Amino acid sequence: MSMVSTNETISRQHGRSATPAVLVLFAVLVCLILVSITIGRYDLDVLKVIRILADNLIPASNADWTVLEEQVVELVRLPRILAAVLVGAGLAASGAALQGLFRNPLVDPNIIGVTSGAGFGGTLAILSGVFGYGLLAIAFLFGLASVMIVKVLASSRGRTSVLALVLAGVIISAFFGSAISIVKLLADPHQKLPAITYWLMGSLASTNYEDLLLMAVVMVPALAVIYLMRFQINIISLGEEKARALGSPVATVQWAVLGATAVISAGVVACCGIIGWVGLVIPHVARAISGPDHGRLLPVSILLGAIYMLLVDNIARTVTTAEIPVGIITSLIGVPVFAVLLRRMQSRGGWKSD
Amino acid sequence: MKTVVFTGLAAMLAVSVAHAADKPISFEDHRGQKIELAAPPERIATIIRAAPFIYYSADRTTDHMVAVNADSIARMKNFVYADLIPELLELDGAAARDGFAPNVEAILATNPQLVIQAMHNPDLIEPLERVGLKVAAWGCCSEQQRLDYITMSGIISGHPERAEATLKLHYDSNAAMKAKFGELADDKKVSLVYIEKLGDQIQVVANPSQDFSLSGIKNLAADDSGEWWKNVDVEQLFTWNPDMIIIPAQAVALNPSDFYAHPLLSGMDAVKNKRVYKVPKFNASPDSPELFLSAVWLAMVAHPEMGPIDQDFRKTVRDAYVTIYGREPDDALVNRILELEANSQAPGYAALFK
Repeated sequence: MSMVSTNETISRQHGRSATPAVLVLFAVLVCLILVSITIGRYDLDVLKVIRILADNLIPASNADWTVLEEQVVELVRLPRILAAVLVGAGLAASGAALQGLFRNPLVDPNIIGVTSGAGFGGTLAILSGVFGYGLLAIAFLFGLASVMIVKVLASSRGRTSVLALVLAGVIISAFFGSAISIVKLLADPHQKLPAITYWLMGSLASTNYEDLLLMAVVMVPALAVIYLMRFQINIISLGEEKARALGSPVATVQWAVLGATAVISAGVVACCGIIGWVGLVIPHVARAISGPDHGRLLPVSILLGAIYMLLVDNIARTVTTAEIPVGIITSLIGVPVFAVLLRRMQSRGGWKSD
Repeated sequence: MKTVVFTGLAAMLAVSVAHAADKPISFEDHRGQKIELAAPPERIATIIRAAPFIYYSADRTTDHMVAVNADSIARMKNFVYADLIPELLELDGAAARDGFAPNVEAILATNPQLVIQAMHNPDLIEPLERVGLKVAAWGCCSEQQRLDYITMSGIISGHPERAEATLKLHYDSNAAMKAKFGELADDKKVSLVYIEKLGDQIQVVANPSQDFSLSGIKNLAADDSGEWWKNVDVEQLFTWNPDMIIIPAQAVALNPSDFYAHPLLSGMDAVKNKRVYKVPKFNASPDSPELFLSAVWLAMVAHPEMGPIDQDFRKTVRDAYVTIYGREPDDALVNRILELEANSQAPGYAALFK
C-alpha cells in the first residue's frame, strides 16, 4: 500500500468532512475577536469601538472619542487579542502534531521539556536584568536546547521510543524546574522575584505590536511546517514500523515536527510566560469534531485553540481589577476538562494506540 | 549636614543619661504583654525593618543595636538615612536575611537584652522566647501602632522626652492640616493613584495608613480589604484617570519620566498635565517618624490654587530632622529629599520647593 493510499484510507475511515466545522469555527473566532475588543474594565460601547477601528481605514471627519478610548482599543486590547489567537492556535497545533507523531494522548510541549527549558531561560534573563528581546532570545534558546536534549536522550539507533521520550521530558523538566527554583532563591525578593513569579504564570497583559510581530515571525512558519507534515504525521501515527515500511522518513519528520513545536512553544514562553494545558486538551476536543486525520484535525485544533485562548484571556482581563495570569486559568480549566476526556476515552476502550 | 549640638550643657546631658540608664523600664507591647527591664538595654536586636531608624530617633546612637534585619540595611541605602545617619548602614544584619523569620542562633550570639519582633505570626516570636530571649512585639499597621513604635522606642531607650517631641511634631502638623482641609467638600478634593510598580501588572497602594483627607486628596484605589497593595491592569488605571499619580519613595527604580515615556499612558490626565510626582524621601517608609511631612507636601502639590500652605517648607523639613534625629540635612540633601530632580517636569514644582 502506498503512502498516498494510506492517507486516503485514514481519511475514508473517518469520513467526516471538516470543512463545515472549520467554517463555523472560523466565523465564531471572527465574531469573538470583535466581541473581545468591546469588553474590558474601561467602558466602551460597540459602535464606538467600530468607529475607532474604521477610522484606520477611512479617517472620520468628526471623531467623537478621546485619546484614552483610542488607546484602549488599539494599543491595549487589539494586540493582546491577536496574541491570544496566535498563542492558542500555535499551542493547540503543537499538541495535536505531537500526540499524533508519538501516538500518545499525553504528549504536549510541556511533556517534552521545551516549556521548562524556555521558562528557565526567561527566569535567568530576568535575574540578570535582561528584558525585551534579550529575554526572548535567551528563553527561546533554552527551549530549543531542552527539546534537543530530550530527543537525543530518547533516541537510540535512529529510533525514538515514546516511553523514553516522555521519561526524558520528565527528567529535563524536573532539572529545569529545580534550576528555576535556584534562580528564584537568588532573586531580589522585592523586585525580581515578583517579576519572575508573575512571568512564569503566563500573561498577555503587556503584549504590544512588536511582541506580536516577533511571535508571528517565529510561529507562523513553524505552524506552516506542521501543517505541511500533516500526511506524514498520519502515516507515523499508524506506528513507526508501518511508517518505515511505507517509506516514510520517520526520523526526519520527527525532527521537523519536534523542531517546529519547540519553536512555537519557546516563542510562546518567551513572549508570554508558561501557558500550559492548551496543547494537551484542545487536540482531544478537536479530534472529537474532526476525527484523527491530521489534514482535518490541525485546522480544527488551530481554530479551537485560538477561540479557547481568546476566551481565557477575556476572563483573565475582566473578572477582577487585576490581571489574572492566563496560565492559572488554562490550568484550572484544563485539568478538569482533561479528566473528563480521560474518563470518556477509558469508557470507550482507551486511546487507539494502547 | 552637621550634627546638631543641643543647647543643653554637657554636664546636664551626662546627668540625664545616667539617670535614664539607671531607671527600670516597664511597658506593654502590642500583644498586651508587660515587658520589664532593670535599665535601658545596652544590647538590642530587631527584625522589624523600620526599627533601626525609629529606635535611633529615640536613642540617638547605634551603639546599642547589636543585630538588625539585613533587609533593613539594604533598604536604608535608598533612604535619606544613608546620608543623614550613615552609621545605620554599619549595623550587623545578622538578625534576619529578609522577611521576619529570625536567625535565632545569630541573634543569640549577640546576646541581646531585648528583641523587637513583628507579631502578625506567632511563629516569629516563639522560637526567640523558646531560647529565653525577651521579646517586645510590634503590631502592624494602623497609624496608632506606628505612633506606638515611637513611644515604645522612647521608653526602651530611656529617652521618652525625645519620642514625645517627635509625636508633638506629628500631632501639631496633622492638626494644622486638618483645620485647613478637614472640611473640604469631596468634589473639591484632588484625585490620585499611588503607583508602586508599572509593569505587566500595575501595583497600586490601596491602604496606606496615611490620612489623605489631611491634604484634600482622595485615593481612587483605596479599599477596605486591609491589603496594602493591589494589582490592577492598565484599563482600570484609564477608568480611574486620576488628577495626579504619586510614586512612593520606596519605589526606587520608578520615576515620573517612566510615566511620561510610557507608550500607553499619554492620554491620561495626570500624564498630559505632568502631574506625576515622586514622593519625597521622608515618605520612604510608612513607619518613618517624619511621615507627617508627607501630608503637607501632598497638599502643596495638589492644591497650588490655595497658595503656599507652608511658607518655608524646606525649613520645616530641616527642623523636623533636627528634632527627630538630632541631625540637620544640608541644602543638597534637602533637594534630594524633596526629589527636585525627579519632579523637575512637574509645572511649578521647583518654585514651590527650591
